[in-house]
Amino acid sequence: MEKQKSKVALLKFISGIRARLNLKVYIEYIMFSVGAGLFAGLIIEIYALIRPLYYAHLYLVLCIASGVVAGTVIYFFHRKSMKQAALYIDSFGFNERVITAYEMSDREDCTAVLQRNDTLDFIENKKDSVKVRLLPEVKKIIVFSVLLVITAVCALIPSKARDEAVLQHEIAEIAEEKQEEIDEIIEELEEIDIAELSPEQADELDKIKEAFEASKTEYSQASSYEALAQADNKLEYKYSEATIALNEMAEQTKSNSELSSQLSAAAESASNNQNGQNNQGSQQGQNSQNGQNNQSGQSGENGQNSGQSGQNGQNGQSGQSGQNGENGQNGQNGENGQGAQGGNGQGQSGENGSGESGGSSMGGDQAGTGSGTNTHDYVSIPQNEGNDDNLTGQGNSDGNSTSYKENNGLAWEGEHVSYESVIGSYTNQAYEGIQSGKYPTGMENVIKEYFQSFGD
Amino acid sequence: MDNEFKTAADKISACEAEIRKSIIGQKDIVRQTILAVLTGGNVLLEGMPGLGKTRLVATIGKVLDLSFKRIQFTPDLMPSDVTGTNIIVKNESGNSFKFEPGPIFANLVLADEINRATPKTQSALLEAMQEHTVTVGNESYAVSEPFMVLATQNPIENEGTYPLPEAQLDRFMFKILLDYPTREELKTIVNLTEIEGEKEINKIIDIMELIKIKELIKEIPVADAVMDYAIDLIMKTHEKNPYVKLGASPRAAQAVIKTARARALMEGRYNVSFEDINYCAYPALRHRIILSFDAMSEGITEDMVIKSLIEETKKNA
Repeated sequence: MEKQKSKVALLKFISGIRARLNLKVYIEYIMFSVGAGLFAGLIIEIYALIRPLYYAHLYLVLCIASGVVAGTVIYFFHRKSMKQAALYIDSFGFNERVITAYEMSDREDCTAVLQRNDTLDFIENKKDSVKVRLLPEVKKIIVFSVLLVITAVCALIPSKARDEAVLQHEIAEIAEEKQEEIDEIIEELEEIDIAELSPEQADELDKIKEAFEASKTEYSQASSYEALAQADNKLEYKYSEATIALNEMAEQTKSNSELSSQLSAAAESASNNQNGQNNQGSQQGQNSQNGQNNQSGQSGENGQNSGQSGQNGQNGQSGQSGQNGENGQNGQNGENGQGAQGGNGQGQSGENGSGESGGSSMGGDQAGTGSGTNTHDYVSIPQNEGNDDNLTGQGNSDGNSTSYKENNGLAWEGEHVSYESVIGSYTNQAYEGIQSGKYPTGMENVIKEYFQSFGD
Repeated sequence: MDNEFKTAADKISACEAEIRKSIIGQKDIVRQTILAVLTGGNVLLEGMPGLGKTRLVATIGKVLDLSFKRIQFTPDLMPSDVTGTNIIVKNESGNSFKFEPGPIFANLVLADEINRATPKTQSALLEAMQEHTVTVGNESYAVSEPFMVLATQNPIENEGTYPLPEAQLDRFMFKILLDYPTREELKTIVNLTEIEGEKEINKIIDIMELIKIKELIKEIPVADAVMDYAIDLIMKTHEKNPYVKLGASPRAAQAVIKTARARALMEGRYNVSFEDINYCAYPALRHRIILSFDAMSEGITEDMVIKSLIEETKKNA
């Protein structure tokens, strides 16, 4: 009984020191690992001051959390054993009594008991001298504190890159929502059994899907609110087109009630999405684009193209009149001109074309009518008079052609750049290239002559 | 059992005190010699003439009540002068051979200036030192127990000497270096021998007690950590070291552990400590480490190398 008691006393003493040693080890490793995490986070925060990185704070937190986890894992593998604790105690002048007693704790022979009792006597007299300093060295604490402060300061300093990161993130979030919305409608379209559709209908359905895929791509590439608005505009149009097309298909496939209801459901989804889009657009219009609405009113006045004006009117009603107004301006640039040019059969360049149109526009809640004479370079499609069979169009009663824009692709309603500007830009680049020796010797004159030929 | 340990420790302390009545200073020398005696190891004492080597051995013999024989090694000393020889004796039945034991048949044998004898004679000691037997002709004779050889050699006057080969050096448990006494010690020595007169040396323990103590020493436990420390220290002598040509043999590890246990008992402990290992490492390793030419040319001694090896081992412990 006495032997057992002494054994328990010995093990209890070693266990107590071991627990404190492990706590010390844990604090040390956690401090080291969190310090490493802070350092990594500091680099990220510094980077976020220079370059847009929205998740810098999150990464910092993750780095610190990783430090905590790493510290815990490292600690787990470096925990002090009872033997190590015993050796630690011995380092306070116990002359390896404790480690020997611990190793012989299973033995009950005379020598082992004598040794254990001797150790316990020694412990009783010297236990106060065994100290475990939990706090790490002052130097380490200072380094850690400095790192913490610097990281905190870096995380709180405002910067342009940080603002830009927030902006980009917001855009990305909106784009992501839109992509999800598109995915849903695409999924719904994919559920429709193409085998039940006629080849034309199947083709139409594919085109709708492709159009939505293109919008997805556009959203994924959007890097500004302007690009988003543009993508919204296109998507809204695609929704309206898809709604019409799907409803038509539903009507045509009435005999197949299941297919018809699938198409109707898809059309309804597209319509709902369009309405949702309109609501968003309305909000935007209320917030900031009233001025553009006015502009669009002017555009409407000048609008030349009846078809386009109709679309614009629709947009205007839905509240995205500002953007639509811009469309109106484009219209101003000359659908008429295209007509005239088409008439001349020079639709590709069209810079000198001019013409008139009796179009009207509903852009910006204002019906605009007017006429204009503008230079333009839009492709014009004359009624059945062009040589290019790929260009199809319908002639108006006055002999001009009706033109429209295909809004299903990626390239739609881009910035208008004049022919002269494009040629001028390329010519400048070529001349700069010649000056900087970019081109092979002897080719300079060839290049110069080539660009000069455009001016002739 | 507790009393036995305490009595043993007390007896050893008493022996040490008694020896120190005759040997002034040289505390570590006395203690290391006692350690070797308690563990039955042979000792090589190296020091200048007149430092009390022979006196130390003789005193130990008296204190421990051990039979003591001295052999002065000279170049013309023959092996039979050490081991003994068969002689013809006349008796009633006629002439017959009788083995006449040599001076090696004693508990304590002092091989004075061992390096002056030829290797052949030196080798005569080998069997007795290691096996505790002496073979003459076809007969082997056991030497009396406890048995140990305490050899002395002079670090100077190397001309005409035969340095002990490594194999023989390895048979010595300890190589103990004797240094000059300090001023105070020298004064006490002169007082003791020339003015006051030498004190009488008393027997403290007998052979039976000594054997019992030797048994008790074997009971002293060695923790794994301490054993590992000792092994690490020995293994360090084998690692690449510019000053070490050849490391210590396994006998070195045995010697360190054995004498460390004895030291623990002397200190009144029931366990071996790192300090015991360190203390015993110097005399146990210094003749087992062969220094490189670099060490010799730079004036590095065995003790310096051992000290650095201990420091390295401590760091890794």
